[in-house]
Amino acid sequence: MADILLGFTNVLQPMNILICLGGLFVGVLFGALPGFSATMAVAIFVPFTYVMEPGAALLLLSALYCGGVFGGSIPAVLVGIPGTPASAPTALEGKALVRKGEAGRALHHVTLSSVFGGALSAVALLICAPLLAQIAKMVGQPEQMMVAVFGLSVVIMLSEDNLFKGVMVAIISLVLATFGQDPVQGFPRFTYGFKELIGGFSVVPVLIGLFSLPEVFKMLEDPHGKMTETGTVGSMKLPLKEIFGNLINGIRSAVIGICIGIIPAAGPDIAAFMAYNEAKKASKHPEKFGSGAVEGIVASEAGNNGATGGSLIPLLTLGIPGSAPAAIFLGAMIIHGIRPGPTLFSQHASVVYTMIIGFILINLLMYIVGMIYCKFGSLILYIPKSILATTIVVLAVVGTYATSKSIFDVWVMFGAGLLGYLMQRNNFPTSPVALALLLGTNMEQSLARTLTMYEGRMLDLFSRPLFTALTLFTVFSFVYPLIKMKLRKNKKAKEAAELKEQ
Amino acid sequence: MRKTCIAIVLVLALIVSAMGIASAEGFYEGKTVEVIVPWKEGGGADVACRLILEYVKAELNCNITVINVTGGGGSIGLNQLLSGDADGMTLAYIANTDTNGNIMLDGVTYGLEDFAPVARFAADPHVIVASNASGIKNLEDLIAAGQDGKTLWGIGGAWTHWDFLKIEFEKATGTSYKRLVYDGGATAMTDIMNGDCTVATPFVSEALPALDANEAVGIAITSAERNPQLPDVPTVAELGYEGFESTMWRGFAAKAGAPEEALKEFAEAVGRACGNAEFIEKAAKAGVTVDYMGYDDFQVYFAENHEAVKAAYEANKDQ
Amino acid sequence: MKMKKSMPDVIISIVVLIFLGTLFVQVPAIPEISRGFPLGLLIIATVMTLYLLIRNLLRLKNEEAVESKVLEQAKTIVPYCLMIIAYIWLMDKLGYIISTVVFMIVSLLFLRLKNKILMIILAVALTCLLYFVFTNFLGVVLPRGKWINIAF
Repeated sequence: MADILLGFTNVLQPMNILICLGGLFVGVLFGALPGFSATMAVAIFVPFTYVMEPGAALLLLSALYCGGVFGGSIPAVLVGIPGTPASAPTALEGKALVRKGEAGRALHHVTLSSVFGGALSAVALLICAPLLAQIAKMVGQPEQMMVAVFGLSVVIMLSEDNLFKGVMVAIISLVLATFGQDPVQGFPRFTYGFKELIGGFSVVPVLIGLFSLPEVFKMLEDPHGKMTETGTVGSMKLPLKEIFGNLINGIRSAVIGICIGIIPAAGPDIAAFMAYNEAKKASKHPEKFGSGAVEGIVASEAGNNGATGGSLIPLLTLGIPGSAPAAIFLGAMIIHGIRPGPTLFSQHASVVYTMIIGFILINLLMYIVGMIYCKFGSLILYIPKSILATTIVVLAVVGTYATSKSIFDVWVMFGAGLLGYLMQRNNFPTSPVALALLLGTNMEQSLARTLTMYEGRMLDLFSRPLFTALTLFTVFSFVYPLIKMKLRKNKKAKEAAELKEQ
Repeated sequence: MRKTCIAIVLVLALIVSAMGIASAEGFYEGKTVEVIVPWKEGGGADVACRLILEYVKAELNCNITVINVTGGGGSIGLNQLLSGDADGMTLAYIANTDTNGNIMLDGVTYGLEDFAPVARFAADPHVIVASNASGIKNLEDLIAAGQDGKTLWGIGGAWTHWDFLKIEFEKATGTSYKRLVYDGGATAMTDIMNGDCTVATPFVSEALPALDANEAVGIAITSAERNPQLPDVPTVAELGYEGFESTMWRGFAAKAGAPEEALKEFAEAVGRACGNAEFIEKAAKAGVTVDYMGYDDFQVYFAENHEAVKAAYEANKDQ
Repeated sequence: MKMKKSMPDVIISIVVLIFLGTLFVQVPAIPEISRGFPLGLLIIATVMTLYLLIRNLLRLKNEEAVESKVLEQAKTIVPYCLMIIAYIWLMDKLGYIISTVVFMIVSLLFLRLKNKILMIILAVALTCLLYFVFTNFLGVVLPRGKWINIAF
């Protein structure tokens, strides 16, 4: 307890608060630019922290991380282009709300639910880290594989109106995810002789193209009339009723985010999709999803920010990095002589609690920083479409180049964008591509490892309690939406028949 | 009038730029150097590179940006180095097995001649660890477990130094283990801690958290001497396999044809950084074993290492 | 132009099938240990695409052709795509600054921005702003031109 209080006093020093604010401002910018991510923000600033005190260093990195995860959602709402993959589900709903002239409302929800999800995950980090660490230890390769399959079930909810095409897109995208070296022998598969494809498709360029260029092409569909047209921001005010109406949704999504964050190799992006999926399942109006459901935004944002604190739990308690940014945290902590792992809380209590309490503060400060960015960012909507379209193209090209400094990746981005546009025109949902690419590699790797471990005794897998539970969950999450859809269709048919009779 | 003005401006510009060249003390001063790290952010290679480059930057008085270009067992990043200009402004992190890319990795075309070695800055040992669940407590147990070829041995990536360490160990002790491929030492450690994997060979920094907390057993270390971070873990050599040494050296290389003067300057800066007390202290904490080798020595070592790895691969590729 | 409603799906299925075919050709070269996963997915993908093709071919028979805007829209989208292609290609040759300024001006002209002064100021200002943010602040060296290069 004394350590926690000490953490408080450390965090509340003016210098540390300034560091948090600065980190947030920079982090949000990284998140908002396509091609830049929370991971890059943290990686670039690690050397700066060498000269800082350990506590302050970790606060800066935490602020960059949280800001980066949050920042992706601002362009996701305003132009329908997620700054990071973690905001892809937000884009689905945000776009529609902006078209309705409710950008302000959408942005406020984004900020509020991000703060909520992030703060809750920080509290989880403070209170139940040791307990959650035990769960993290149960997650081995078979469980990771099942989580990936479980994640794929989201495709069903994402493409409800067009189930067959959605599943087909997901399967083909999984094939695309197998491009490049296989996980066991390192043989380059399906490269067509391109050296650049030995490592497979980089996910980020594909996603930038997939989400940004179709928006540009859609603007071009109406070439003559609309190019000078601008949008409106609308009021940012939220009625209290609307906020509390989403409370349960927010808590559920944050908890999903925390749990996904704990699992190695699944981060904020998967968390956002899963939380969105569950919100849609639980919603009274699932049909509104995709055409501006606030619930979807809340779920996605509380989910992806929930994963920030979640991914630090296995890092701090076991020394296992649960995500790419967490891996960089690990490096930075070690250089400061702080060794994450079971001994951390006893040996470096002051620094750790400074970081955890700081994590709560950072998430609260994120409200202020977030609203400032939203306010200024929403000015984008007043820019005429001709300028906006041009800027998006330039940003997508430069942003993609920034991820790996390769022109080949820029071509991949362009190809993905064109493909995404053709898909959208012909009612093929594009989000399953993102999901399959994010999950595919991991799924194959953990499958290959599981097969090696359990060679010749596959049934023993079910002696792992968590694996069995996840398998049941997965089966349920594949079957449930299908049954529900069938029921709803039957009901609609009945109603239609009754109407006719009358 | 206007022409005179332009002429004056031009002459002034020339003088200024000439002075600029004259006053610059080194090739890199004031410029931005790119260093490609072909492994992901936060991994062993990335941590080591970012740490040393922070000090090299100060030595050269230049700006260094680190780019992580991942995938393809490091080949994507190295291909990117080789597709650029040989102007000495782009360098890449390189380690034991990279120069044999063309024979080890299908689809990779680069080899020894494509690189201009610059300097080596570290040589990191691996720690052989076993899971608590396995009951393996020491090297004897480990050798006993390696008789039937069914014990799982987690490595951090296909056909990098991880694979060679396994091969070298098996050869020295007459054992064989079942190969299980992970994407990095940290991931393998996770499975050691929950008992799914039996043996793994992470770097010191990756093994420390688990060993501190008795969540895994440290069997031996693969360097010639014990590691200050793990004073209780014996070396493989002192346990009866004299001369056994297998470390992952870390260095920098440029594209072949890059100006030698520049590379020498960079190598010297790396050397000075390696002598910096502050760096040495930070490196020790990060589990990086500093082991500098300058430009001239590294040229020889680079070629010898290439042949050694090639021979080891040729002898074992059918495994 | 008139087009039947299921026609695009038919075309897409055929293209996807050809693509999957090119992948099947490459399968035998993959080591056996890592062949199963992609092969299984490939087979499922092929079956699904075939199903989509057949279903739409059957539908095609009973459909009336409807008016489609494809050609009109293609008139703006195809040239714009070509502009982006030229932009990416030129970026490698002329470096970031020149290619981006040129692309922005051409793009804004194509999209009929009326105010020409604003157009040029915008193109130059935005290009430079991005350049400084990326190189100085984010530590990214933007493409250096292979033919000529302007950099600060």
